[in-house]
Amino acid sequence: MKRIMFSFFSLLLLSLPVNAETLRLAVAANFTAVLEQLVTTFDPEQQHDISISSASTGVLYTQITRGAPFDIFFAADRARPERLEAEGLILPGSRRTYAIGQLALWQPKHAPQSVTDLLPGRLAIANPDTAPYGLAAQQTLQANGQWEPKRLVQGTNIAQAYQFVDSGNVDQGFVALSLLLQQQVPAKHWIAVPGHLHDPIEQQLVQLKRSENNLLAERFLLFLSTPTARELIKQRGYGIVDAAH
Amino acid sequence: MSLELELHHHYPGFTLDLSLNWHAEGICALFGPSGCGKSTLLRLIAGIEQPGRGYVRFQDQLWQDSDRGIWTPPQQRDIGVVFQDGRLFPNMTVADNLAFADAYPRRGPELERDWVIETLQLPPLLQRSPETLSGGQRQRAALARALFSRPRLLLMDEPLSALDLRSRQLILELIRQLHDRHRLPMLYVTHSADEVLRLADQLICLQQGRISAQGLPAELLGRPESGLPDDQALLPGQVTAIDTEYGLAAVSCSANAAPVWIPARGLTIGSHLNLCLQARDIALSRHPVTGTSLQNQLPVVIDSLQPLDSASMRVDVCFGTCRLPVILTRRACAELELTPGLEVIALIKSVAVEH
Amino acid sequence: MLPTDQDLAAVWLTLKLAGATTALLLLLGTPLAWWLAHTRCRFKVTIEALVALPLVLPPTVLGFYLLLAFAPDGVLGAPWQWLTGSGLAFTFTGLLIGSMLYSLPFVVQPLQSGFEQLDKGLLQAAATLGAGRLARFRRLVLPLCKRSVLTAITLGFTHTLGEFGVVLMIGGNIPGSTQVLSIVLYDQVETLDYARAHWLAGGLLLFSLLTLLLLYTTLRRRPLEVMP
Repeated sequence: MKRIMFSFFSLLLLSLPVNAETLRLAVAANFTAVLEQLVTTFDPEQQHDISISSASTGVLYTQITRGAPFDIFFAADRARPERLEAEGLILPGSRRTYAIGQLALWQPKHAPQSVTDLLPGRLAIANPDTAPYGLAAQQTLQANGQWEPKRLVQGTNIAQAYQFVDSGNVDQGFVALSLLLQQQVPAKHWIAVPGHLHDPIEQQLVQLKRSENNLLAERFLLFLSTPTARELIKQRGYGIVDAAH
Repeated sequence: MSLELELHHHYPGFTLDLSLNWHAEGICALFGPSGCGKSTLLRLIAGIEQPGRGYVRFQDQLWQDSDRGIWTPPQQRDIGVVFQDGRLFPNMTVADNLAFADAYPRRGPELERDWVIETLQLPPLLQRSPETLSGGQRQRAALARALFSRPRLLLMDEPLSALDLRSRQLILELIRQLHDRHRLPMLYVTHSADEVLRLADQLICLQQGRISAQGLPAELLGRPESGLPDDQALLPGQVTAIDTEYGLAAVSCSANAAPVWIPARGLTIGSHLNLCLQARDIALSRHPVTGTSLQNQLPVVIDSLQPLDSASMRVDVCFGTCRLPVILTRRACAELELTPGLEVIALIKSVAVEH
Repeated sequence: MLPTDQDLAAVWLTLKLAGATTALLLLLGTPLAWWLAHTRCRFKVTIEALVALPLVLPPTVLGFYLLLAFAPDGVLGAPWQWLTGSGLAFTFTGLLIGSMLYSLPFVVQPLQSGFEQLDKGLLQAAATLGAGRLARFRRLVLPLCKRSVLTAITLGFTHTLGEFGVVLMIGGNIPGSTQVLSIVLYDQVETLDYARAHWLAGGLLLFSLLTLLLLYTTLRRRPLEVMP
C-alpha cells in the first residue's frame, strides 16, 4: 500500500507544470562528476537553473554553518550531515545516504591479486582524520594486520591520494573505485576492497532549511530514488542502499 | 723604472690613440681640457676601466697586453689611487680606512705613517666617520689611505677640483712636501694649469685622445700645443742664500743672472723649486730705479713684442736662459721706446712670486 | 590546552624548513642577485621575470609541476633517484627544493636591489688598495648592504613559515618530515578541531608579526650624527 501511495504521489509531483526555479547544490569533490551526470539526466533541456558548487566536505560544511545559500548538500561522509542535523540547520528527516563509497587497491605497474597483496615501500591513502576513504583504508589495513604508519603517504583527500599514485611518485594506493572507473584505469591493476573490512563509507545528503518551499528540490530528491538514478550511481562505482530504508 | 704604454681604443665621445714612455720619477702631470681622455687614461693605467686595444707595462710587470690576452686586475698592480670624490668607505672610521690595505701583500715602500698623518693634519679626524668630514678633510684622508697601501705608483685623478681654494692650496703644498720626502712616482691628472705649474716635474698634454705635447713644464709653457696659458713663466731654480733677518731667500734661476728674492717660508739653502711669475705682475724700466720697494730689479733683454688688443702689448724678454712674458700697455711701450734687443730692467715684487 | 607532540614536531619541522631554505637561498641567491645587478646580458630581463614568477604563481601550480618533476621518471626525480637511490616526493629534501623555488624572489629581489644601489666607485677604490673580489664582498658589500641582507633573510624565513600550497601538493603529510604547521592547521580545521586550530594559527600569526616588527625596527634609520 505504501508503495502505491508513494508512486502515486511521485507521479503527481513529476507531472506538475514546470516552474523555472533555482536549485543550488553543494557536493563533495569526489561525487561531482556523478552529480553533474544526474542533473543532466534530470533536466536534459536545461529548463531549470541548477548550480553545483564543489569543494571538500569540510569547507562546504563550514560555509553552510556560516549561512551559505545551498539547498541540498551532498557530503562525502555522514559525520558532517549529522552535525548539521544536530545544529538544527536542516529540514527534519531529510538526512539520508545517497551513495556508499567503495575502496580499491591500485597498483599502476602491477596486478594485485588481493587487497593484502601490497608491494614493499610507500603506500598512498587519504588522510584518515579528515577523509572517510582514508579512514576506511586505515581500517582495512588494520583488519589485515598491515597497518604501518611509517610507510604511508597521506593525501588531504582521496583525489590527492589518487594523484600521488597517478604521478608515479608512489607505486600503490587505496583510492576511490569510482575514480578508477572515471579515469578508465584497466581493471587488472586494481582490486576492490571487500566492504566488510571497514565501516561503510556512507555518503549522506541533507536538505537545508533554506529550501523549505523549494519544489524543485523535492523533485530532484525524488528523482534520486528512481531506478534510473540509482543505476547511474551504481555504474559509477558506488554502492546504493535499498529503496525502502 | 718606467711606465710604457700604447693604447688605441674607441670610447663614446672620443678615440684614445697614444703612445707613452715615462721614466716614472717625480710628479708627472696629465693635463688637458675636459673630455680629452686624461681621466680615462689614468683609469686604464689603474685597471679600473674596460681595457681597450694596446699594452701597458710598469717596470717589470706587464699590466695589459690585448694581443696576448693579458690583463692584470687592479689589486695586483700595487698602485695607489686618489679619486676626485675621495671614496672613503662609509662603513668604517677614517683610521680603519687608512689601515684597509694592511691586509694585503704589496711591494711598494713603507712610509713613515706618523709623519704622513701629522703632515696631512689628520689626528683629530682619525676616529670620525667619513660622512662627517668636509671635502678637504676627505681628500687628505684619501691621500693618506693611498699612501699607506704601499704603492709603487701613485695615481691622482683631479683630486682637488671639487675643493675650495684654501683647501686646494693647502693640499697642493702637502703633496709637494710628501713627494719631496718620499720620492714616490706620481701621475697627476688635472685641467688646472695652476696645479701643473706648482707640482709637475714632467708634463704630458692631451687633446682629444692624443698627446699634443710632452716635456718639462717650463719649456712647454709658451707653446700653444700644450694648451697651457701663456701669460705665466715657470722658472726652475735653486736657493743660494737666505736672509734670516727678513725671512727672504735668493733663488738663482740662471747662471750669470741676478737672483730673485722671494719670501723664504720654510726654504733652505740648496732647495730646488720652480718660480711662477705672472706676466701682469712684471713691469719694465729703462734704468734701475731707486727709492722703491721692489726687491727684484733684473737685467733682461727684450726678445719680441706683440700687440694683444687695442690697449695691451705682450713683451717677451730673456732672463739668462729663461724667457719671461710681460704684459704692458701699448702706451708704456711707446713711451719707453721698447724694441727687440734692447736691454731693460724687469721689476718684480717679491711677494708676487709663487713657487 | 597544551600543544601536543604532533604540534611541537610540526613547529620544529617548520622552523627547520624555513631556516634551511633561507640559508640555502642566501648561498645560491647572492651570486644570482649580484649577477642580475651588474650584468648587461640580453637575457637579464627573462631571468628577472623567472625569478619573480613565484610571486604571482599560485603555489598549487608550482606544487603540481614539482609533483610531476619529482616522479621517478621526472626531470628532477630521475637524476635524484640515480644519485641517491630514493625518491624526492614526500621527503624533507623535496620540500626544501619546493620552498626554495617558492621563496626565491623574496630573497633575491631585496639583495639585487641593495647591490644595485651600491656605489661601484667604492669597490674600485678597494681594488686599487689591493682587495680581491671576495675581500671586497666581505669588507664592503655585505656591511654596506646590511639592510638588504636583513630584509632578504626575514622575508625568506617568514614567507617559508607560511608555505601551504606547495607542501599540500608534494608533502604527503608525513609527521617529522613533511607535516609542517600550515598542514596541521588545515587538518585541524577539516576535522573541526577549532580549539587547537586557534592556538596554532594564533601562534603562527604572532610569531610572523613579531619577526616583521623586529625587522622594521632594526631597519628604521638612526638619527643622523651632527657634524661638530
